Amino acid sequence: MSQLWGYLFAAGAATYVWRILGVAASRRMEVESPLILWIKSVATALIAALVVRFVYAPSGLLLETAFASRVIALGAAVVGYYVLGRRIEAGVGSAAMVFVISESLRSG
Amino acid sequence: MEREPRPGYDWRGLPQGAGAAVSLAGAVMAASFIGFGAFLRSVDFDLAAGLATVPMIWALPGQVVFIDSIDKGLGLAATSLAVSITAVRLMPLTVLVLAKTRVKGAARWPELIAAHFVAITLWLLSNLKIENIPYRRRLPWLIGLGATLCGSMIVFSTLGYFLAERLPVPLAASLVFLTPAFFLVSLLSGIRWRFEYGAVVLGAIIGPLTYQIAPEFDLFIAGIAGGSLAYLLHGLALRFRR
Repeated sequence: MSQLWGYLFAAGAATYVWRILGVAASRRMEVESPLILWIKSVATALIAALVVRFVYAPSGLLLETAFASRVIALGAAVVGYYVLGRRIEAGVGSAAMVFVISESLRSG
Repeated sequence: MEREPRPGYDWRGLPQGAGAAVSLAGAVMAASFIGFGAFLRSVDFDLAAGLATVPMIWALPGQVVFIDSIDKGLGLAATSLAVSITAVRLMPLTVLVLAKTRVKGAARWPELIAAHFVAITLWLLSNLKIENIPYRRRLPWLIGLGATLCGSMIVFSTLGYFLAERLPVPLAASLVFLTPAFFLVSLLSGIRWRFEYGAVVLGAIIGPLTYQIAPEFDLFIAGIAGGSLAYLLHGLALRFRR
């Protein structure tokens, strides 16, 4: 229990470090310098990897859903976003709808 | 240590920012935090510690990685490293957000508070609205917005946690699925450069491949390798075009 909170403090500190670096960097770094662009590229690839991990190696409740539902719903997020005028809520809404429909068809 | 009064911030921006939290982006964020709460429930995570990740980490990818790492029994170093890697993204975001708030001669400490609230949604909202806020109110506005979002998301996470128990599996699972969907769409909407599409695709390909070999470091490797490769290709493409 207390070990869990120790982990949490460490994780919180490990996150805040980047924020402080951001504050420090904002004083001398150009917003579109090569270093910033590279960092942004790395962060983008990392989040993309995290997203697909929900599909191929899910944990918890998502384990009980079909791989196909997760793939199709993620596709629906992308399609919904671009087709419905690049709106975040359109992408997220499409994904949720497709996911629920696909899962209901499977279990029903 | 008495300092003479300096030109500073206009703190009337604080309640103004709090009001700005009620927005479409805020609603999407709420939905994904309901999903986060459902995710906590689905892996049987300690509720208090799970909720505490909201104000202490305040970045959904980091929170999810934290929960997932604990769930998979990773050690302190591996967990912190994994969380820290997902937070790298916050550094340029912080730079980008703060770039628009600077008031010459004003105290710097509020920037450290505002920095704690930086997240994808805060950045999106500030992109949309901060231009209309007078300069001296911007940093207080960010803090008001961030603190309000953060406080509300604790409530929405709790809601998701208890909803997950009562909803049928397809619905509860779809709440959990809101999180990756929101991340992916936010990534796409945040793209300013063409190479970032490359970074998305390469990260999505390298991640699953490295997961087979080194499941603890798949995100790290996918980020560094995919992100650097996308950036290098972008540089090469620019060179060949000339």
